[in-house]
Amino acid sequence: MDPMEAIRATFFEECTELLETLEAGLLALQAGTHDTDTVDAVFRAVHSIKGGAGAFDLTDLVAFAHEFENALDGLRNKRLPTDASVLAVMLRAGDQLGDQVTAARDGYKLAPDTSELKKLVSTETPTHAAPESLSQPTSADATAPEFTPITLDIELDSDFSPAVGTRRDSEKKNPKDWLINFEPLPDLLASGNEPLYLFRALEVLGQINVEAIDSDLDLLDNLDVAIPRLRWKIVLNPTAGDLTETEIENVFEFAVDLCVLKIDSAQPESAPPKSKNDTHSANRVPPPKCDTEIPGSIIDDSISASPEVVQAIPPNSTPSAVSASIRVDLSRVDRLVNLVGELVISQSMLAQEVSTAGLNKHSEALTRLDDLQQLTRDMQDSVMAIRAQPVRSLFQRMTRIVRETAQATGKSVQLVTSGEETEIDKTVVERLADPLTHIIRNAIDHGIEEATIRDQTGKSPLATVRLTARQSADRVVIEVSDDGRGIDRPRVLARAIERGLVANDAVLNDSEIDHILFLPGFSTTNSISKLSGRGVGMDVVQKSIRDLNVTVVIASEQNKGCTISISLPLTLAILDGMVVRDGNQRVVIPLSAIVETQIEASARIEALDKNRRLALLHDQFVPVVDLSEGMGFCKTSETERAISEQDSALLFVTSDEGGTFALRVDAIEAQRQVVIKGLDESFGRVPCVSAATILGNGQVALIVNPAGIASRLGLDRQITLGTKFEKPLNG
Amino acid sequence: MKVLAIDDSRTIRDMVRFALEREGIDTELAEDGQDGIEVLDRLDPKPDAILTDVNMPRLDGFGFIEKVRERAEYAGIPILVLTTESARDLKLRARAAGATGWIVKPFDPARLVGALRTVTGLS
Repeated sequence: MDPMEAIRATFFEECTELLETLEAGLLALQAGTHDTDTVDAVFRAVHSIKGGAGAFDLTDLVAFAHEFENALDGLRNKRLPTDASVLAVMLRAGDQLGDQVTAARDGYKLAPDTSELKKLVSTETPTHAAPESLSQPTSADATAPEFTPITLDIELDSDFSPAVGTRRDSEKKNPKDWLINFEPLPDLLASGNEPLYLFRALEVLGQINVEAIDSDLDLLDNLDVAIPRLRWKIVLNPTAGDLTETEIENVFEFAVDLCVLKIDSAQPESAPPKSKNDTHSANRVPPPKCDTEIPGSIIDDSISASPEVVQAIPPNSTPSAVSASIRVDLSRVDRLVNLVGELVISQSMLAQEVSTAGLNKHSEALTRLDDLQQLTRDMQDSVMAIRAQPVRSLFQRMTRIVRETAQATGKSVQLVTSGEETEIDKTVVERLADPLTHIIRNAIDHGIEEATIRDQTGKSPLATVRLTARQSADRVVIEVSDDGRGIDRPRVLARAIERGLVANDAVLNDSEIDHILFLPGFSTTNSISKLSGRGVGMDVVQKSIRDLNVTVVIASEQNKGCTISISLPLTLAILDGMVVRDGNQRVVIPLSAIVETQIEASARIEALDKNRRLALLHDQFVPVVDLSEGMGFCKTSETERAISEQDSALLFVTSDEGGTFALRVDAIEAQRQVVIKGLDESFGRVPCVSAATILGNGQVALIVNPAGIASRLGLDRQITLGTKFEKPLNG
Repeated sequence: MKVLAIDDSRTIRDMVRFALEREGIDTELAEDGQDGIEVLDRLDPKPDAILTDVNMPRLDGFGFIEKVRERAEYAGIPILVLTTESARDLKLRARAAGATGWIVKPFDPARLVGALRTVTGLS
């Protein structure tokens, strides 16, 4: 990749992080935090985005970030109050900044709207208060004494280096000498300037004759090497006739207030524009007689200009907890994850070999193997922890969604989050963004009532959407709940019937009606459609997390609100599964999908007809599906089936779409942790297969996605359509 | 020539490194003032010049410069401030802390390199 392209990519990556920092900071301020560290971090985030954007000439982004920075500076310097209305503007500006970053990244134009920020800045109250808590007042400090102008500014558009200075060819006068008096002040050397280098830079401009004036030299014993004692007189015979005083000054630009510099044309009559230069010189060069006082006065000025500021930020005033962290390329972590996966496989192969080797149960080898097993597992956990990420950043993103949706619907909604520190696999975090966005939009758009209705029902006008995350056993549950009207079941059902998703005469229980929300093609779009109902329904939620081995549960209570829980595996790399055999195929069924297993011989099975059988699970009959039929592979021979029948078992699996059904397999072979190996892109997608794994004996086995089987056989439709399978023969 | 560049922005660090290494200048990077001190202490040989941002977490540019100048062995290393800021009071603070010069971002790579060459006398 072109290095600049790579840096550009880095920039946008960094922007994402900075935007998160920004939002987190603003939200902390909104929540009542008032420490300067937070304000500084927020300011710095915008500042860094501006800095990087400038480097890539992203003018709109720079322009917006600049206005934003101005406003934040007001916050930082207490010219703006940290109140709700100011923060609301800041948060919206943060959103817009994010949009500008996206526009810049994707190369489209988005006119920055800075009106709100400008208006905010115009309300700033000028303050003369000592900026004790502020790190850097950028505006001129009113209390600072007047001091002699010091030309520290480097003109952006003037050439910095004499070597690259441009010359006007029109003036071809005879080169005239320049006289330069250069008298270092005591600080010159200590600031990293070296007269010799300056002379070398001068040499680029022409021939120089340097004379050292050593009249100030003290006795050797009194000499301090750090303090310059020599003064210099330089005669410069320029190569180009039109050399200007500015070009000479440029050489000294970093030393300009650390020395007394006097530049004179040797031929006064043809000197460059006199008046301006004289003012310059007069300002900088003191009358010769006062030499000894000048250094002090200049230094004093610069110190007195900012004493309180200097004290305001002692170098280590921000001992904020420094998290010892390193940045590691994700691909390296993935490689490690893969290697540990291989280790797990090879360890289980070894275990299998050992178990068949007929060793004594108490043999040393088996004990050591147990140790190895334990270590491998610990190692696996540790590696997984590297990929784990708190859901905080995901939750933060949702605050914007809430804000925007609330604004668009004219409802007032607060987002309350908890469990942000809960960690899940990075990939999962990323994949959850869309579904959560959808759920939250839906909750606000459809779930939360208009203010008047809330008032009538005695609810607070400020609606609440709660977003929580918690870990339970090996899964993480993320919940979105609102305090709105709850799911309007009669309406949902009516609509589903209208859309042909449910049979006219269907009798569905509450939970089944609630889950209609997730059916493709279902969308109660007769309200604000540009938000939650933009042609796609909640089925997007299902789709985007389908292969994450998740379960989604809806709980709704009339007028109390609705809760949608998404339960996810902790990791996408390891799966607790049951290794089963059907025909000559071995596959792995995720343990999380299995609710119960029964030996076929002792199960109660009713035949509906030649091809359809039902099995009793507690008080309900569910369809029985042969695994081979469900997955679409053929059993090699009838004899094989006959032989295996004695071990055959029913695995009652449940999927959100397909409800519960029984998978009939020839045999259950083992229950174990397997390492998930993603199927390469080159394999076509088969809905009933989610991934593959390598078994202890080295054999490759597919990991089954029960929901895929359900949809392949149309179980999901049968169930939701309320046909025979939906409420099978009770008892 | 060897330069230590300190900036909390990865983008800017990458850019500086790119601009300098293209000109054959060894570039060491640090993420903030505190990190800068640590890298500086570790480096051997020491850099010929230092570029530092102002606005950084933990230890800002001013604090960094002061810390460097407290150490006799680092007194002669030129320090150029590379920042988007251009307010005079900030420049004066940088100067008071012991900075050698000030370059405004976004920077022109040729000028940055030119400035480094001037203050170090190295090509």
